[in-house]
Amino acid sequence: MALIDSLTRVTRVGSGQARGWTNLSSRVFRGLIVLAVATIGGTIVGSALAQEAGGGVALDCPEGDLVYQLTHDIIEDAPGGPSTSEAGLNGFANRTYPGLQQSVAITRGVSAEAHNGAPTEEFRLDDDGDGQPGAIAHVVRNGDSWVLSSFVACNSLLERFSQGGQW
Amino acid sequence: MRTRLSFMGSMCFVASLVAAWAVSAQAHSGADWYPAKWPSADRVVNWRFVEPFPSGGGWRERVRNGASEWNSVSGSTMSFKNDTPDYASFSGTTCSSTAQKNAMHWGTIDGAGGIAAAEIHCTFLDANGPPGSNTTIHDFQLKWDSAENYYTGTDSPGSNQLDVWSIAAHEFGHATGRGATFGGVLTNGGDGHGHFLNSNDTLCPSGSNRHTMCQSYILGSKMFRSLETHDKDAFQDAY
Repeated sequence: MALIDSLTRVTRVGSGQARGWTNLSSRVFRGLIVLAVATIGGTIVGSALAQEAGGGVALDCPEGDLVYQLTHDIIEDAPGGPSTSEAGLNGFANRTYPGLQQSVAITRGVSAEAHNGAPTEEFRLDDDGDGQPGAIAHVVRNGDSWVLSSFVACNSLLERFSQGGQW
Repeated sequence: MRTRLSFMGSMCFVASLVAAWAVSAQAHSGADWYPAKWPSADRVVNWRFVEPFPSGGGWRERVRNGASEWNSVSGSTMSFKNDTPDYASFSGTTCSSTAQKNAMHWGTIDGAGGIAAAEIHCTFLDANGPPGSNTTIHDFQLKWDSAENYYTGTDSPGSNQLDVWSIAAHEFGHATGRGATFGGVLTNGGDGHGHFLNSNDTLCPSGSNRHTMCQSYILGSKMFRSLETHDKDAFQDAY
C-alpha cells in the first residue's frame, strides 16, 4: 500500500516533467564502471557496477518508472563465451529483448580496468535520441570471453521489447 | 626504556586506528549499502519458488537456509517468508506487474560455466527525492542456472561445486536491498553494488570468516553460509 501511495504522489508531483532526468541530472551521478571481481582461478565472481568520481551518466526514465537492475554472478574464466564485448552484449540482448538493439542508439561508454585488471566495457542504449540512455549495460572480460555482468534499465523501455525474450 | 615503550604503544594505537578506519571504510553505514529498501509498512518479504524449481534433493531446504541467515539477525525489522504455492512460470525480463511478486526461478541462463546465477531488483524511481528517500523496492527475482554443478547438502561441497546454501545466503543479501540502485546511482559502499571488496583482507579473507557479501564466492567453499559482523551491521542499520 505504501508503494501505491508513493507512486500516486510522485506521478502527481512530477506531472509537469516529461522525464525524470530533469531532476536527476542535478544530482551526483557517478561514472559507471564495471568491476570484474575475479580473485583467483576457480571462483565465482560477482561482477558489479561501481562508482567512479567525476563524469558519468544516469538513466533517463519517465516519472514514476521502475528501474530494472540485473546482476550476473559469473564463474571465472569459464571458456567458450563470446570473444568480444559487443558479442557479449548482443548475446544477451538478442536472447532477452528481441528488437531492442535495432531500436536504440548504442554508444560505447567508459572502458575501465577493474581493480583486479579485468577489462570492462560500458554500453549506453538511448531509446529516444536525447543523448541520455534508457539502459546501461556492462560487459566484463572473463578469461577469453566477454560476459554481461550487469544491466540497468528503465522498466518502461524493457516492456516494449520483452515479448518473446528469455531471461 | 619507558619512553620507548610509550612510543611503541602510541604507534600501536595509531596503527589500530588506521586498521579500524580501513575496516570502517569498507563497512560503511546502512545507507551506504541500502539506497533503496523494502517499504516500511510491510517488511515481511514473501517470496515463492517458480515452477519448475527442483523440489527434491535438498534444494529448497538449502535455499531457505540462505534466507534464514538474514532472518536470524537480531533486531531487524525485515525478514523473508517462503510462501506457497509455487508461482507458475513467468518471465523475469521486466519488473513484475505486481508489487512484491518476489520469486525464485530455475532454468537455463547460458549453460554450464559463464553465468551461474542472476539477481534482479526492481526499484521505484522517485525522481523528486534523493537516493534512499522515498525509494522502495518493488520486487526481486532470483534465477539459478540449471546447467551448473551445485551442492545441496549440509556438509562440504566438492571442489568444483557451488554450495547452494552459500549462494542463497549471498543472493538473499542482495534481496534485502543491499546494492539496489537509485536510477543508476550506486552504493557508496564497497564495489558500488553491495559487495565488500575482495581486496579487503580483513572482511574477505580466504579463510572461514569471509563475509557473505564479499565479491567472490570461492568455488567449493561454504564460507558464505553464515553472516559475519559487517554483513549484519549494515543490515541492522538499514532495518
